[in-house]
Amino acid sequence: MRLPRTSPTATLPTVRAFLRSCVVVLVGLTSLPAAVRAALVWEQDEITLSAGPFDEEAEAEFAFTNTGDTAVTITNIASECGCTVAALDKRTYAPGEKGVVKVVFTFGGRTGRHSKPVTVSTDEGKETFTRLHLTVDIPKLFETPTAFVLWKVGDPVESRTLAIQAMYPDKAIPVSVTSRDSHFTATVEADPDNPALFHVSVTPTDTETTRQTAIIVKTNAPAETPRVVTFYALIR
Amino acid sequence: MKTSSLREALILAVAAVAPAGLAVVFHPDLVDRRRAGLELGEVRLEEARDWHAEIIWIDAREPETYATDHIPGAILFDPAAFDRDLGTVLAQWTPERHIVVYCGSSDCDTARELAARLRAAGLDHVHHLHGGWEAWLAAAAP
Repeated sequence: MRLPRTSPTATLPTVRAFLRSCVVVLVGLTSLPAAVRAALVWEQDEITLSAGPFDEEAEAEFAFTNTGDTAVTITNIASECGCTVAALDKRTYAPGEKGVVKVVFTFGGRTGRHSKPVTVSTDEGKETFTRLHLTVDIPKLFETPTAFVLWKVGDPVESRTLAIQAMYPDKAIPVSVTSRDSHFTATVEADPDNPALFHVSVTPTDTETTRQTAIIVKTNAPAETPRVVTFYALIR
Repeated sequence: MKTSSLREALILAVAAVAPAGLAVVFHPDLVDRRRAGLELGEVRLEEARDWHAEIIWIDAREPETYATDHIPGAILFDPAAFDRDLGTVLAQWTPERHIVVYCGSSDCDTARELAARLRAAGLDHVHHLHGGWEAWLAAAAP
């Protein structure tokens, strides 16, 4: 059976109608952002800070302006971590009014780069929210390649050594070490060739049964910001 | 002319698809569908369950959320008390065990950060759960 041939000109009106629809849809889409534009305009939604070696928290202020024609109320501010607290002076902002969300991130022993999101919801429309990020680089006072030493049950009773690199040796270095369990003894000494490098040697009294204890290395960090390095000794 | 164009298009399509098809047949290990879209160190729940190993689950959410519900046996881990809670994990740990850290959902960073710190502490086989607690709930839903 032969199908009837379609003339190319017969399809032109259809193509034209399709193209016209595309133009209408495109124009509609480009005008959409203006129609639903958020009234709160943020100066920045991400702030990155570098902390000092003894800092315990970082604080940032996210500034915004209500550029809309009506008042905007911030209905909720949420952070995923109890370590991050966000605060506002007030909730409702008149047209043209400026405001600030203050975010405080308490490090609590964290080191390295941490990014803490804060979600700000407003009554501008259904599910209108802005995600702010406070990113902080928290320096390590001490670099340690591992946090534990391990013996297997029945291993020879011999020492294991842990290294501690003081990253700010002019501010804090290890000075003493203690074991919480008398089945382990520990000593700390400086590397003869590198004054910023320290070696902690741990020795069990035996390896007959599974055990675990914390090895605490005290440092000469200032009394108001004490720092210890904690290791674990395990027999498994 | 139309037939020849169609034939050329078909040849091009086959030439493009054939190498991928052969790779799936001869190197299935290179095409792990479950790993698609995952970050380094991230694991999907179904993959973790396939390990047939006893997993140490670590809950990196807030204590109040943990108290409401958590994965059975999961250890509540406060990143702010890392040294203390590392001891709790090590008490259950042996070198062959896997550790999976989770937080609320894919939107939270806490599990990823904590897993990285545990790896830096010298632990192997440490992962963070794709989708977090929400993925666990979805899998448990009837």
